[in-house]
Amino acid sequence: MPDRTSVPFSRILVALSVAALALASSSQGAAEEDATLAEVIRDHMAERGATVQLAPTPQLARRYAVDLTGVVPTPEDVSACEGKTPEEMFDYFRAKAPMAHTRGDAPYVWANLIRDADHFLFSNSTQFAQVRHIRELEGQLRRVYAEGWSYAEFTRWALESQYFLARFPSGADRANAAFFLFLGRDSLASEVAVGRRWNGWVLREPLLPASAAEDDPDYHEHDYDPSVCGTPGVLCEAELWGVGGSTPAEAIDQMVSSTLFAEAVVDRYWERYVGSPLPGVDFPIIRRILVQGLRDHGYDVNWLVREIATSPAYTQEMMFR
Amino acid sequence: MRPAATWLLLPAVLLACDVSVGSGSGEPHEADDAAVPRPRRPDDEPAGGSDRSLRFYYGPMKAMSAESILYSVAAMTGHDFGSWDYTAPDPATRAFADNANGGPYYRHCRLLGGCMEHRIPLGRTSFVGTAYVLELERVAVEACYDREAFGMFPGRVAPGDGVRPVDVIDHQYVTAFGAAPTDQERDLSVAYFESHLASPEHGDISPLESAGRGHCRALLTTNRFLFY
Repeated sequence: MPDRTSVPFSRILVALSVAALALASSSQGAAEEDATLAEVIRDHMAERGATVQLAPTPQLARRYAVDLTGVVPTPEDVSACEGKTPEEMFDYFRAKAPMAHTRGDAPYVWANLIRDADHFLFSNSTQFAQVRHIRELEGQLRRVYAEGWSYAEFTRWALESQYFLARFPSGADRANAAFFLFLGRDSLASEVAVGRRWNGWVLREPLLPASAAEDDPDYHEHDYDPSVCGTPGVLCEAELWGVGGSTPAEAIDQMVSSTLFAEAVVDRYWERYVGSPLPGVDFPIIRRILVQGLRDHGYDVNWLVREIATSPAYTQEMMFR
Repeated sequence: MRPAATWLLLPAVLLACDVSVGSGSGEPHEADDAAVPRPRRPDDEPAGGSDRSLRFYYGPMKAMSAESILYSVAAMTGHDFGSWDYTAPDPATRAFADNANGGPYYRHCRLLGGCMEHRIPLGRTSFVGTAYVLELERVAVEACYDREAFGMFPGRVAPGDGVRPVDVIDHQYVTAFGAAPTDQERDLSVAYFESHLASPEHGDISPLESAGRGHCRALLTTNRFLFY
């Protein structure tokens, strides 16, 4: 285990261990890869004598309504959901017309934009002075939800936009922010013990001892491991952005095409809708299924959201009524 | 002066809606009413049954965001909190002004877990603490006692002579929780109404309206409303 505190803060050392992740993926059985998210969860529960229990309609309708429209359902909404499957309920609320609070957007788009604002605007790393940059960002994200625009393409746009370049003028800042915003982690993680919070963000699998994570391919502790430098396919100690320079297309390509990027997207939307971190260590297959699906669907996060929000992880009855 | 009986009955109504916000109960809901839905328990399973701590055994339980609370309360009651636009050009100078973007929305939003804005980075919190609970109470009071708002009554109009307490109770349960009250919950709410009607809290409105507004306040400050 490398001493992470020794990583210089001023110089972000990026190590995308593509080879290691590819190796991990290839070790999974073909049958496992073909399973759906719902099947994995059902099998997991069945092996332990439990069954999947759909939440009562009023409860599930309320969950969909708050998540997809931002407000609790009306009595008419609840009545309309009687007898509907989770997929039909999801589609019902997603198709809602603009409401008073959504300022002209479809509620589904509005609800996601609000949460994206939390992510992109709401941290010490990402405070902005230029309102027009925020509006540009919002406009591009609107395309992601309203038109199904590829999240990978959105990320390419964002990394080359003034939203990003003007706010983060130095190469180190840009690499730091790119990790924080798009790869699911922040470079300051090297200064924070595993399991602690920094700036409101939970490091991956906070309850997992670091010693147990070392051998797990789904734990990205080793993404920062300088000892893998020199391994083919691994980018090490490369400055993604030159100081004061433009964003190199090669670096963006490498980022957006990495498994780490797709996993970060999956993790973020899983937590957004399920409300807790994706249990990647216990269930690595779940992340693999969703990552593969996201790629197969051209990085359409609307597919990802529907897949997560119609799975048993989302539709089961809550513990407290 | 608020009658003492009103205060004694409010906890009963809160109890009917599970537990009040911030009570910190760690035990599952244990209603005796057979009509109350409850998660399947390990005892329900065949031999070698499931473990309540099993991953995915229960679905998510999340607290509503500040925006969802405020817009939901506004939609249910008809009260207007104003709004907040996180792309507003100069939020710092208007942060705690009640007229920021046309109402107290931003002030409530900040204390209910955060309202994003781009000038003052204050991280959003999910911590349901004292300030949070007090602010939720203020939100409920502001909305439920707004004399111009009638969304908490059937037909979204002032309750007339033909409206019964049970009509108001059922309407408020359905709009707040998406489900009608159980018999036990309805009985407790009716008891609250009977007590309140005998000694109304507010003299400038009808006794039924006064009781209905107090009941609205009780429902909107429950865990059942906050979590989804």
